[in-house]
Amino acid sequence: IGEAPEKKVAKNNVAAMRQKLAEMQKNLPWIERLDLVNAPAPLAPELAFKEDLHGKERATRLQQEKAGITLEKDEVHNDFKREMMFYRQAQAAVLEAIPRLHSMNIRTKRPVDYFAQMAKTDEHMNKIRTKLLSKEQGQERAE
Amino acid sequence: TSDEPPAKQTKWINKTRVLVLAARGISFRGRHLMDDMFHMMPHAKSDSKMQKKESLFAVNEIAEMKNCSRVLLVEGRRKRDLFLWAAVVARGPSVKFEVENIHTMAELKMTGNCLAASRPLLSFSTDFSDKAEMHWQLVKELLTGIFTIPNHHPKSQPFFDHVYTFSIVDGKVWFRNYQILEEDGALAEIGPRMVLNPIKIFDGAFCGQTLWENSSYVTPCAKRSMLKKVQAGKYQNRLQ
Repeated sequence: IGEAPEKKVAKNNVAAMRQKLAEMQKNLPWIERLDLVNAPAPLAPELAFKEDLHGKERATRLQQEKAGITLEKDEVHNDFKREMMFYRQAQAAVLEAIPRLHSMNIRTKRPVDYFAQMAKTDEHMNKIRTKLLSKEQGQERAE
Repeated sequence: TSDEPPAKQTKWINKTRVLVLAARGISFRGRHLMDDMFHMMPHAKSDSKMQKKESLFAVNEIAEMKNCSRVLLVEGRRKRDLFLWAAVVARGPSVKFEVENIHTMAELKMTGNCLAASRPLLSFSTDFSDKAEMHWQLVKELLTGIFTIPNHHPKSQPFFDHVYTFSIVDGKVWFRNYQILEEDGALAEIGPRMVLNPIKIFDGAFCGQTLWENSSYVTPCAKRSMLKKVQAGKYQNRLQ
């Protein structure tokens, strides 16, 4: 019987990493970096309602399919919950950063008549719109 | 009115430039992801794809020629696995991530949109705070240095209409990009989406000592072979 192979110890050189971190930091003011550390924003009532609704929907669907898994183990619902967490984190960031920018007298909102290149083209946005519309219509028809 | 001269350039101190580059055999999905990121970074520069034979260390030279101090390098393996390097040129450090669960901006289910060159807010989850483990702090500093657009960058837009979020779930960094619809916190997702699984942190740029490694990391190949073994076992069980 052979001995179990010696377990490799994962490297974790904290001191060197601390030094590297100090080297990288350039002491720029916050406005140059715009980084924030946020906990998720408190669950807004409409989001709580959405999550609750999704949970119920999944529970009935699981029961119908007799999948034999509980809501806690349901991957689809967990995905939904996780995305909600990310969304709330982004919300917290907005709620913290926008007042901070305003306090520095920086304009944040884009005027309606301001035109510049967008991340997605108009053509692409139209595609998204038609897809959303057809989805909605399909749902209405189903009802 | 349009008669007014364009606003005079104010101070532009942070001259960081980022080289966004591909190396060896990335798939179309990897290329789209890279392009999505590149188009939202007015401070980024690109170069032609690296040759297979070139060692990654040569990136340092390319970056220097392009006046870049940071690098974001996308590397593909076996035409399906994608890796992302984030590095500070020459002095280091550099991090290698495996990229999982990629959704590009071209997908139709994400309804948000933003200015191509507006500066993003960077939101990190509390796992990245000053009291967090050292390697997460390092990753935060690296990602901030790469993704933040310098203030008053000539090609940037002066408004704030999107947020990048980086959160840790399962020991991996989950990236999302949201449009700010209303300033009271209504958002819509823009994309792209990706999950970055950190593998190693190196002392230098694409070289040097390993400062940290992920003890629970399994290569995508090993993952697939494990999955195959499990499936093979299933068939054996059925025969018996």
